[in-house]
This record gives sequence, structure tokens and C-alpha cells, in this order.
Amino acid sequence: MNGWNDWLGAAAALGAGILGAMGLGGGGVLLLWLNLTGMDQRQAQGLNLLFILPVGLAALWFHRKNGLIQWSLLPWLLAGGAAGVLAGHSVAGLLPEEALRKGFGLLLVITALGELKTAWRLLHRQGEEKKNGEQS
Amino acid sequence: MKDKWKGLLGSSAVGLLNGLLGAGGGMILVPLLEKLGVKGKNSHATSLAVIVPLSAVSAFLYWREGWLRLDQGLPLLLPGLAGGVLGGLLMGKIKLGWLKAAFGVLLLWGGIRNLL
Repeated sequence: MNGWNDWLGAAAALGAGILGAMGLGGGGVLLLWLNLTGMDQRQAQGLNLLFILPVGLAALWFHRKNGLIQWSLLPWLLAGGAAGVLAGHSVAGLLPEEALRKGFGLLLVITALGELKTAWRLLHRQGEEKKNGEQS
Repeated sequence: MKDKWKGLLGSSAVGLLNGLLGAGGGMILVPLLEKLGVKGKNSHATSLAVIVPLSAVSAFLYWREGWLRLDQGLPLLLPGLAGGVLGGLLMGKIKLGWLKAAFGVLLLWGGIRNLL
């Protein structure tokens, strides 16, 4: 639409890809950006879902090669998850957009607090290691 | 035995979040897997093996409702994929502490903005 927004959108997607690959919820960043552009919440969520696929598939290919996937639990997790998706999608259709936006906002706050807690722990530990002369 | 039921129940919450908000899931699934004895890198990899297929189902349902417009998505996919490769390369080379702190502040700001 306008040039700046396209570039910023591409930058947000790049950042989301980087964070996603590193195991930090990259989706948060992309949806945050789409929220800022004023996109309809459901459309933004749809884009985020689409976005997960190529990056996630690429990462999975590496994980499978490295033997990191625990296959034994997978059928159970997928069965439960699929039932949840059907229910969640139905509820998303019933709720007003504002409720979804607020729900997503709440999810962001919870995720953010978790990230900050982990960050605090990591930074604290780094400090300790420095004091102890970097044992490895 | 009990693990299977815990997995089934927990993952249905993951799916619910995925279908309802189009995001999240990892934040429930990774701790759940850790509790079920899948540790560290394995929990992230296994979580992804669940979230990718679930997101595919959600994306299809969204698309059918007209909530997913592919023309809006395509310009984002290429930079996203480039970011994914870059993130994979950077992994382990960058101190996660400050990155997580910055990411946390950004998400907190965005979350509060949506709530107000």
C-alpha cells in the first residue's frame, strides 16, 4: 500500500523469523506489527498461522535430522491439539473482534512476563559466572 | 500411561489457543513436555512438531472463513524465511539474556496497548 509500511512489515517478518527460529515466540512480534497497522484481528491471526508454516517446517527438518523429536508422545499431542483447534476456531468465530484483540493482548502480557523472568535468571547467572571466572 | 492423558489434555489447551488466537501454544507446550520428561532441546523440537501441523489445520480453517488472505501473506513469507535461516545460524552465538529482556519489554508494551 505505502512504501514505508511494506518495508516495516518485511522487517517485522524478518525479526519474527529470527526469533521464531531461536525458540522465542516469533509470532508475538509479527502480530504486534499487524495490530499496529490496524489490520482486522482475525486476518492478522490468519497471517500469523500461515507464517508459522515455512519457518516451522524448515526448523523441523533440522530437528528431525538431529534426532531431537520425541515421537512416542506425538500421536496423543496431535489428537488433543486437533480437537482444541476445532473448538478454538469455532469460538473465534463467535467472539467480537475486540474480545480477540484483548485476549491476544493478555497472552502477550503473560508471555512477556515469562520472557522477562527467564531473562532475569539468565542475566543473573551470567553475572555469577563472571564472578566465578567463567567455568566451562 | 498417565503421561498420555496429560499430553492429550494439555495439548487440547494448546490447540484451543492456536485456533482462537492464531499464536501461542509453545508457551504451554514446552513446559508441559518438560513435565512429561522431554527435556531441553528435545522439548522445543517436539513442541514444534505439534505446533506446525496444528497451525496448518488452523490456517486452513481461517482461510475457509475468509480470515486469511494469501495476497497479504506472501510478501511476509520471504523475509520470514530469511529470518528463520539467520536465527538458526545465530542460535547459540548470541547471549539470550539481553535478547529475551528486550523481547519481553516489546511484548509487554504491545500487550498492554491491546488491552487498553
